[in-house]
Amino acid sequence: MLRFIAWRLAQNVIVFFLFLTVVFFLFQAMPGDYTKQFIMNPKIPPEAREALAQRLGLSGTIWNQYIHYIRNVFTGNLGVSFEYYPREVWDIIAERLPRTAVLFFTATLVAFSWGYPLGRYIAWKRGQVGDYVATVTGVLFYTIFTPLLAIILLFVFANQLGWFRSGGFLSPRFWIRAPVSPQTVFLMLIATVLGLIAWWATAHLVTRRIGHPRPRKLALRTLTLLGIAAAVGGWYASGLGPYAGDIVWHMVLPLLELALISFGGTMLLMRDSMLEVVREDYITTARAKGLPDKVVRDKHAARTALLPVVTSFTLSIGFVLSGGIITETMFSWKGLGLTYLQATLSQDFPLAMGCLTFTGILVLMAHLVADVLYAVLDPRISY
Amino acid sequence: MRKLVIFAVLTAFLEAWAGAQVLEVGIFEDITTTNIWARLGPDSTVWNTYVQGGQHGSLYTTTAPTWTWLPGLAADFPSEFVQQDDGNWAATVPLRQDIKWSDGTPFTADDVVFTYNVLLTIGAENLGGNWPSYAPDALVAVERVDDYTVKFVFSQKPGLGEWNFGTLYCPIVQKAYWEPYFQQAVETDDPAGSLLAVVPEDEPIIGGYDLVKWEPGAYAQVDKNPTYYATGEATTFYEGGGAVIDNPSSGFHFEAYGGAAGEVMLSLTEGPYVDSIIYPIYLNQDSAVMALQNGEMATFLNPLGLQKGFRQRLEATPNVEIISNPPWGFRYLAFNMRREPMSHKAFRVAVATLIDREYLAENVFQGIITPMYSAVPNSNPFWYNPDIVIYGQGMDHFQRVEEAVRVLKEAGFSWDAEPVVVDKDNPRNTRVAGKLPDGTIVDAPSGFKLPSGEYCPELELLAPSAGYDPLRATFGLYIEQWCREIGLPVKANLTGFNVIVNKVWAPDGFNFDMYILGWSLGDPSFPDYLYYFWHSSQDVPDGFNTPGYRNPEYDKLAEDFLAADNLETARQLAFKMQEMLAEDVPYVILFDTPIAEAYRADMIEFPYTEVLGGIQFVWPLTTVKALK
Repeated sequence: MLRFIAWRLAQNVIVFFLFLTVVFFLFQAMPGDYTKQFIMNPKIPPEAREALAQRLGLSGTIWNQYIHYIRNVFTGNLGVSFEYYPREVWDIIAERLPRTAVLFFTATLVAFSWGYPLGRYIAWKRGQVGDYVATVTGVLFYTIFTPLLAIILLFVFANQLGWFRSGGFLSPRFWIRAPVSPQTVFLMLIATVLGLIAWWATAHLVTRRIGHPRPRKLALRTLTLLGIAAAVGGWYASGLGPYAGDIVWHMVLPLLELALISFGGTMLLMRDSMLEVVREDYITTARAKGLPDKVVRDKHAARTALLPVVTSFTLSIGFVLSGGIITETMFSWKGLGLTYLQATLSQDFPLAMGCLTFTGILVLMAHLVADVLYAVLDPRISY
Repeated sequence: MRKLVIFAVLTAFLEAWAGAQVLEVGIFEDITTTNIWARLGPDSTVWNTYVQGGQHGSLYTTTAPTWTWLPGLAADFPSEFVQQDDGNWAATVPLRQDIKWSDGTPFTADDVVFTYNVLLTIGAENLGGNWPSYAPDALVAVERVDDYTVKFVFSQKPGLGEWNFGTLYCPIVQKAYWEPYFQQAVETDDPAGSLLAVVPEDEPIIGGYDLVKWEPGAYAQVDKNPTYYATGEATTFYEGGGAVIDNPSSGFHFEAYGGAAGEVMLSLTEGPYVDSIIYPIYLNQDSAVMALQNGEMATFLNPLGLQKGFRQRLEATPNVEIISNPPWGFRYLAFNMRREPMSHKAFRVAVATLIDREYLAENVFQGIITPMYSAVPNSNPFWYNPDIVIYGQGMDHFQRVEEAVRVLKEAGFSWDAEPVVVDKDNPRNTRVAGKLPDGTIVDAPSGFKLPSGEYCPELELLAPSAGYDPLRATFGLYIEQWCREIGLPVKANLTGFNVIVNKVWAPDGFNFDMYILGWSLGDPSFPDYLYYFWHSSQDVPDGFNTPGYRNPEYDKLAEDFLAADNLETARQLAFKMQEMLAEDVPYVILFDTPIAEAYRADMIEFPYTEVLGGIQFVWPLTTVKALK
């Protein structure tokens, strides 16, 4: 397995190199000249231009610029933003990353936690009313025009019912004298979610040693609840719970929008995958052995059908940090997606390329994770 | 530690729910810096100005809505310029003695001298943005006469544009705070870059509101300055044109322009009245409008005003007031006069004649735009010259066509098939056709030739795409259509704003044929852009004179305009400049839209609502009141 991971990592480096090449020449092909945009930029004082031009290799040929770009990326130097000069690109990404991560990661988890069981269920009950209703609903949300859904949610829940604010990720009045910055709370929220996932995974591994299913499930659930209680208690003890609550409250509408749109895709994928699997001989054999329906569905069929869903999920996680331009705009949630769009429109090439580079790294890592998970989930696959 | 945090949270709760008066005012972009050198330099965005414009003061200021030029940090008007023995010209400015910085230290001549010396030492042009207008080339030195008097020395006597409406508008920073940063900066290879990169913390301010919190991507918060020198100070404007400033706390009194003669027209008493103003960021107008309807905020600031659809939606909302004010800007068509055929006045006049602004305003845009003609918008009656030539005025479409063809033919342009208006007697069938030299009528004109006899190459008309500005995009398409109707090979290219800017201000020269863009103009009390947009000295890469208009007569007028030492002379010169621009048409001034704005009448009260450019243009921070 380690050899496989090493080999895949080496492949990823090559793919990443190709990706960077495409990104570089894509931006070169855009209307407007990269170097002229830099020279014309009034935000960059004349005295600073030479040093920056040398750093980015702007004074040389395109080939020279390319070499500089590749070298800079591999040495962790994404350059300085033209738009936010003299801020470093890394600095801007680090500022916006936590907001995007919290919203889109949670939305992805929620969408899969709805889509996977529902897809599994309706495939098993194919042809019944529930199947039709769920499929139509899934297709409706999967294909809905995203800004329209956002406006509907805002209109109903913010404008008419007044349950939420019309945008933003916090209530400014509430944060006037806050002892911490929202950035800190976002980072703490990420730590909490990751901590809970780690806790759940550990609990899962530990409880697997219990032979009987009923006490095993009970133990897992108890440990999970204990983890959640500890997290809530920790927030309470820190005194920052209300601030986290404010952010979570603001997350509800964009989260709902993203989850509604995404869950349909997962559900339909799981349904199709299940429908393929249930025709397999080994499912018939499992039934013939007299195994309970639930066991056949969950242990035999769903586990195999899960593979494409896992791929989709892992890749979604990879794209999580690139954000969603429409969602971020409609809900005034200024994250990485909007940063990328604005950087591209204002021809802030270092920042735009930085965002793309960052997304590329994460997607490649997600590919690697997906490959490893395949081996874990499917005993037929070995490396 | 935990107790401390809980205490802080409880305090926040109490303050948030029951304490200080807080106003929320939406904005659509984040601020980009908290450094004043960057804010008025490379980061001079309207959003930075909305949020931080109230922090610093200048020696003189123009006060909306009357746009009266009055002392700010100065105690009186500056002295007359006197020529010194070395040939330089000097004037002194007396400073107010009742002003303190927010850290309690007094404001003195040292602060003023330091501020200007930063510009003179580092080079205002290296800081960019607005700074060069505060320290023009002719400014030689700024010296301290005593604690409360400053002497300005110029190599030549400056006019109103460089002096009253330029140098004296410079925001003043505190010497004690900025001097260490300045000393560090001048020791580096890049002093301007170093100064621009400073992230100030706890900078003492002199204005009414101080930026106390900035959460990037979420909001910025300004709190009132308890030591603000002008709190309670009344500025009263009289119908006779006079203005009087009275500060009951310090006893400061100033009057000018005839003083308290006639009825009181308007009296403004300085606050600040609101404890905190929060600027939450909304990234789209839809959610901002909903937020206003819900009462989440008192108003939002938008330099483009409220779109028609949103206006209609808000009109039906209780407690929401809509106001509309004339704009201070224009959208225009520019010709590149360095290239043929745009270099021919006849060609420019012909295109100007063809453009029927009234038709578009009334029939296409249903009255949402205001047609404009002069280089000074008519919303500013003092500087606006109504007596200028307007090509095509009062003509219907086919009269315009005939007039444009006549002008072009007279200048030596020709066609293989010349445009003619046919079927004039039958209005339903009247159209423009082509006439061959043998008199045969063909479907359309063709073969447009320059006076040299060469065929005219295809001309690109750059205009913003409909996504960016549907009004300018529509104008671009109509101008293309009208030009092609008489055989002028004009092709509209609706493209990105940045693409147009990159072509117009290309580093190696101006790389365009024609383009449509817009300007938001500066101080309405002195339109110095009349110099910068069309003076030949600005016909250089990166310069403002994009058409390449070079007219020695205009240059002389523009120079005299900047050098004029009284408003009446400047006004007469501005009138002549407008006439010349209308005649020579380097620009065809097209239109602008009134600035519509909405606010919650149950949450906020403005000292006035009728003002050039709208509330967003003046944002009267220290006189705004919260009603809840």
